[in-house]
Amino acid sequence: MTQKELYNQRLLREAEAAVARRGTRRHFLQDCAMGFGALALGSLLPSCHSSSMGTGGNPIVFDPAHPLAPRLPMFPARAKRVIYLHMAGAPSQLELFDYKPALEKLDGQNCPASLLEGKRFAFIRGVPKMLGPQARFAQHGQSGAWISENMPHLATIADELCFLKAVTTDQFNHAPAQLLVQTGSPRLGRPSMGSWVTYGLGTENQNLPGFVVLTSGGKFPDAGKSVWGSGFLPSVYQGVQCRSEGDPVLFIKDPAGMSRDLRKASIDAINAVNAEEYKDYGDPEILSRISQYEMAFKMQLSVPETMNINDEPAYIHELYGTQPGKACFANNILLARKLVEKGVRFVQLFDWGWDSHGTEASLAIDVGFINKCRQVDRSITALILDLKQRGLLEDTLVIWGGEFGRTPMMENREGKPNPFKGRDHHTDAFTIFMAGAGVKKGFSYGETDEIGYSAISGKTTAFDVQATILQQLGFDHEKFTYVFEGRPFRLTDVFGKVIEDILV
Amino acid sequence: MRWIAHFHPVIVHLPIGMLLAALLLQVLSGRPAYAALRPAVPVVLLAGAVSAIASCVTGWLLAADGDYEESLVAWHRWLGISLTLLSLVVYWRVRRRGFDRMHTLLSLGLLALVVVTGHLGGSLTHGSDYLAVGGSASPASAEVDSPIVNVQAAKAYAEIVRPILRDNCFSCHGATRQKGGLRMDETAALMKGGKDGVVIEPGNGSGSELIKRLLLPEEEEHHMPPKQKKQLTERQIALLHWWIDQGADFTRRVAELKQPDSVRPALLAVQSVHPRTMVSDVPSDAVEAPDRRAVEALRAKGVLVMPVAQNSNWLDADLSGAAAAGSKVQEVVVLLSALKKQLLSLRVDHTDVGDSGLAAIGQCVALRSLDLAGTRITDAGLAALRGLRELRVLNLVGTGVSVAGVEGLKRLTKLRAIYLYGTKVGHEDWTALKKAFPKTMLDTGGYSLPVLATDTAVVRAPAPGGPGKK
Repeated sequence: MTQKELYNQRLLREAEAAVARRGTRRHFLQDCAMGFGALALGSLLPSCHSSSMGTGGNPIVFDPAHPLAPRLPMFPARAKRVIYLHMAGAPSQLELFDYKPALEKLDGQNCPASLLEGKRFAFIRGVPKMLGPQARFAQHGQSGAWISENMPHLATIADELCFLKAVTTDQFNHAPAQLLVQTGSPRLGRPSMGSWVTYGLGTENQNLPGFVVLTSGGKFPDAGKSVWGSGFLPSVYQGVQCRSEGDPVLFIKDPAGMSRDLRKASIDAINAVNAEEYKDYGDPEILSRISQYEMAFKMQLSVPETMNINDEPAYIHELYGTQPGKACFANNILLARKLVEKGVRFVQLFDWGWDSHGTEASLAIDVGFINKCRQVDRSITALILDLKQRGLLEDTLVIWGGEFGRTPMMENREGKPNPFKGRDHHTDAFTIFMAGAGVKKGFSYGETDEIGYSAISGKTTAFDVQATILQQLGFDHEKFTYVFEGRPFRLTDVFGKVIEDILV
Repeated sequence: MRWIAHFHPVIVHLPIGMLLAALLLQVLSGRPAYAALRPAVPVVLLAGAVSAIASCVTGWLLAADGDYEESLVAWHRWLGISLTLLSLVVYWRVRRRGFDRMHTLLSLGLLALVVVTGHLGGSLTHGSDYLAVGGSASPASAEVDSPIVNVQAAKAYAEIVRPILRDNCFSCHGATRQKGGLRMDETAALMKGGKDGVVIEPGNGSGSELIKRLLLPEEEEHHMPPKQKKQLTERQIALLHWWIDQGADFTRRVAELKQPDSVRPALLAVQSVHPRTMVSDVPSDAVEAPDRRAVEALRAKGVLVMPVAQNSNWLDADLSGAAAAGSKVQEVVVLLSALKKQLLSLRVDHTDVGDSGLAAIGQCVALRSLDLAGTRITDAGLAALRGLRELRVLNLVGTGVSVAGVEGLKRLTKLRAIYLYGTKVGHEDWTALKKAFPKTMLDTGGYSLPVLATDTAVVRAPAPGGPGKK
């Protein structure tokens, strides 16, 4: 017997002794006395729970053995699936949808002191110059939506879109602002919207994840993977990040020499051991683990098949403007359509590169920004048209937006003019748009003042947008809660109002 | 002296309570066990009568303020006085003659008067419908608002302003009561104003007393509606403000009035009065619970059958997983007819269902949404769907149907959308189809986007100081 084995044996004996010590007569009596009290308390607590702070009559029952089984919304849903297109870095509303001719006239003048008083900016210091719109605008469609020349394709489907032009936030740095939009809190630790949705509704296709994340633009969003994390919800609800080149999910292929049968046999063996473990301890997380192994095995076949966009006809590739074999937004967005078609509940796309400060050419409002627009314009338009022709836009909600807006002033980093034209982060007004699933078509809600600095009507927040998304999915955002650390949490914290005006 | 009038609502509870107590004591004292209570009856009666006199005095003064509907006040006044006199008579008789039959009759009369007068008093203070179950329905709830489809065509006063006033003001400033002398349910009275003068100055919203009062901080004494009442929303105030600004006109339509940008959202919001009911196609009425065994049978075949929401018996079914579960979809659809009352939405897309399967689906008459995309069905099968009168959305993408088959469904007038991408329906069929389905959105798909030079061209930074720079 080696020293290590001896050592292990001793550890085991000590553990057994520790367990035995818990079983003394004194412990038994103590447990009886205290235990009855605890039992009584336990039966009292749920009653406070469900009536005063619970989920309002119909708590979501988390079944660890089938964590992703489809579940019922609180009321009939209008949207069954969501595609969220997050332009990480925050695109300029002033060069896309919020047309401000008055700002043109102020171009190059000093920013009036009244706009700067009591405000903090991420980079602007001192008195910046105003910067007129750096794009030509025209009205499009029957709705007369103003869309700039930077999105020529999108302009052709203006009548399918619903703009929110006075969205506001209180975070002027990317990471907290992205967290706020996606998780309802600027700090880490909350579940993302997609996690909440898959927790509440499960997913219809048990061979695919319920919440898929696709990134493009060469970088992750600034807030990192937390923007698709599950926070305090069971980890099975976190977003599954997939790639549009190479293996869609890392390590999804069986290693060389491992046959499908052998893989099946080893997963069966692991699950058998886990089942034994569950018999001993009864911990529901073990059931969760077993189901995840089974799902992973199924996904080894179904995911590569779904994730392969090459089987789409050439006409569709042309429509989306894909670039086969590359990791790009257009490929991701075509993939998103395939995924929702197969029953994936929530698809989250992040595209990095919209942070147009003007510190370098790729971040200039009249150079890099235009290139970013060209990278997404065609594919976003294609997505909406493609969903429409398949009848999927009836119950698929598409949302496009960044985490904040950009200033009507030209950025002057540290008080000195930037080498290129750019705009700083702006919290007081920005534009997002939605399409499909019971949202009004060809509609615009909210207005900004004549230079696009602040919201003057129809002001909304990230919480309002979240509340509206949940409403379309059949949830009352105030009642959709999860109890953690002794209190119920919701996606919208204590805020948010459904933007009824934009709903059909 | 006027201020004591305000004690009327407090004091009235004394005679009501005491006279009822006297009557109760009287009934009890008829039993031997309580006979000792008998001497207490006249004492309590007298106390009741005295407090009734106090109520009459304060009530008379309060009525003089004239905020109440006159006929109701008159009834309340004279019944109250009769009640007081009767209580004195009863007291006097019981002292003189003791408890005889006449006394019992008079006591019953007293009881009736207490009940009726008390009720009238309640109607005066709380509105005549204060007993209505489910809170206070507004006195003018007989008015029914028809939903505003197009706000521009709506009458500014009758359809927008009046409902706001009715729901928030009429209970105190209406036909029953006119607090502060203000009556708002009649246009002439509304423009005349109240005791303190006019409340609406046409053309001057911010100068009008009505708007000023609405905008006062809620804890201010003059704020309207009073603190404990339901408050107007910002949008409702904006609409009233706008209406007064535009001349407080009682006949014109919204389109005939100027609409500054600030009021547009509020006006648009009026237009979508019932967003929640439109959120889905699910009927608002309930349906009987589905046959459990039928649901289980379908689930066993790999069909996803789910209620549309918690606490709902309406069902959605999705057959797309059935093939993977080894079931023949053609055989599974037959099982659906057991759920025909409950089934609202059905997905059989990309399955091997064919024309013969449509016969079974055609029996599910409650269906709102039917997805047949990517199936083998043809025009012949579509005929079986002609009875689906409730159908709103029909997805035929990628099937073999043609214009002839689709036209056969033209009597399904509730159809909101038909998806026809990838079928034999082409652009040349558009006119015929549009004629058959004038109100339906038809989508034949096949969209393409033009290839623009800018799709692939890359903008480069101008050379520093070069001519490209602005």
